[in-house]
Amino acid sequence: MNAAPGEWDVVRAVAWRTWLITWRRPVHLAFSLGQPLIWILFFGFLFQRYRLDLPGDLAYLDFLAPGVSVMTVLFGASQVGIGWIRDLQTGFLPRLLNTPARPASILAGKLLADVARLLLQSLAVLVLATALGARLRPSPGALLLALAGLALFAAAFSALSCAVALTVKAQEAMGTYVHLVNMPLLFTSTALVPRRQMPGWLAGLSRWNPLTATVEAWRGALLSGEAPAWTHLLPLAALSTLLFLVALHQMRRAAARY
Amino acid sequence: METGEASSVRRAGKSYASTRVLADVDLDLPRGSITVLLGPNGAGKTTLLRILAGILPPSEGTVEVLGIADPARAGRKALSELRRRTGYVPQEVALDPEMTGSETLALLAALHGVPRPARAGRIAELAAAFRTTAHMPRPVASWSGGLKRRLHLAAGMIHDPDLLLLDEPTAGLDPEGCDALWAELARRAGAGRAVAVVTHDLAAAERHAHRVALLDGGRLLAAGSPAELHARHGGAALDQVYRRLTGRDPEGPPRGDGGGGPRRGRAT
Repeated sequence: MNAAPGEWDVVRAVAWRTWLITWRRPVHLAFSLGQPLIWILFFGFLFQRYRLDLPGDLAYLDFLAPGVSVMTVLFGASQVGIGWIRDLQTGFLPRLLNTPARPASILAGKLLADVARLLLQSLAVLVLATALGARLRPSPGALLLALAGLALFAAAFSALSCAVALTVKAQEAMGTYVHLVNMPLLFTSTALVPRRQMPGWLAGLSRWNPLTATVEAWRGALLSGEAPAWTHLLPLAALSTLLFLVALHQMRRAAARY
Repeated sequence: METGEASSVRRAGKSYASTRVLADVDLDLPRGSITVLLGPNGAGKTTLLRILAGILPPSEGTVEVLGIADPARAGRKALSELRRRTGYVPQEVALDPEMTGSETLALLAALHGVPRPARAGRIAELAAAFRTTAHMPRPVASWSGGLKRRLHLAAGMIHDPDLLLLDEPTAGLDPEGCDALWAELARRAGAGRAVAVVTHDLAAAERHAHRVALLDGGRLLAAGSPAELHARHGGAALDQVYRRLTGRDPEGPPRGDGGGGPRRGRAT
């Protein structure tokens, strides 16, 4: 008789499957890198002539690059659940969920692969920005901690996307969700504009935005070699745990309908 | 080899709101045998299969699957054991079109806890049994409908379950695929596994079933070996028994009610 499946074995198998599907869609990958390039080019050129209140000798492109890098993660993460709508429609997700594997391990496997992809994409954006003239001055220790913060942010919004996908079960509705969540998060954060140039109410709001926490941790590590504060990382860890549990709840409901 | 019943229901009934789809059914699935569930559409076959698998709880009566009482309401540990030891294959093909046949079986083997050294051998055996070996490296999207059905069936057997439950597995299969399926089921029954199959193929049931259960309107009309049913209800073949007990022609169109006779339940 077979033993109970090992948790790591399940995580690895699901992560591998998620990677396989990702690499078989090169057009999708190319589009997801093309979008941040457009943001860097348009915003970079649009704001370079305006006087922004940036610290030290920072150019707007330097300031913008970490913001767009995190934005790429947010936009990519919000689409992670779309794959599961397809898997629901083909019946493959219920099939996976009706194995002895724990749903938490299946979800962790998917998130592991998707978060790794999103981090690579965010680094690719930085390479593009550097090629366009951005000056990054990272320190390795700070970068590792900030990368951990970025991974938590990616996991949180990927899990939220999975939970929403398993609730709405329609790709069209996911399009609405992506705009409904991403745009308010983006424009109430410091990803594109420094807080000092926001109206007071917006500056206050931006402090509670997880995108701001992630961008500032990432920006500090990339531009001045500052390690992110625990006050940035702990809320991100709490948020990713909470949204993981929400997605898990929705997965168990999907499995029950097999 | 274990003997006895792999799954049994007693006085089992199932209702959805005010609709009763199954009533007062007693049925065992013995190890080492193939049990075929027959009946017109809406007879309650799929519902009974899902109760026997421990997926659906009965509204009335009791169910025991592989020693686990009332498994649909069992705790997580019992549910995990049940999923490790049963293979339920629904009628709708459930595959990822972007994965290859080998990748599909390898993923499901990992999720079922098949030991890593045994996986490649299991995949090769199933591919050979269902005659899909040449197609295994290709994405499922490029497979024909019948080949997909074969892979769907093979995926349900990757963990060599003690109890195998198949819902209309021959739908869309060509004669070669049907032969491969029944040969594989016979081999598994010969190895002491319990197998239950829902089908409308009376000829195949006649040839391959050790036991037949005939349902109509959510009630079990008869159960026994094909020879026992012939002797008890008259007729030289199952189609005559079917006609006599259900009042329907198994080959012909339904009797003017558009759906296979009077129904009290959901379509199966």
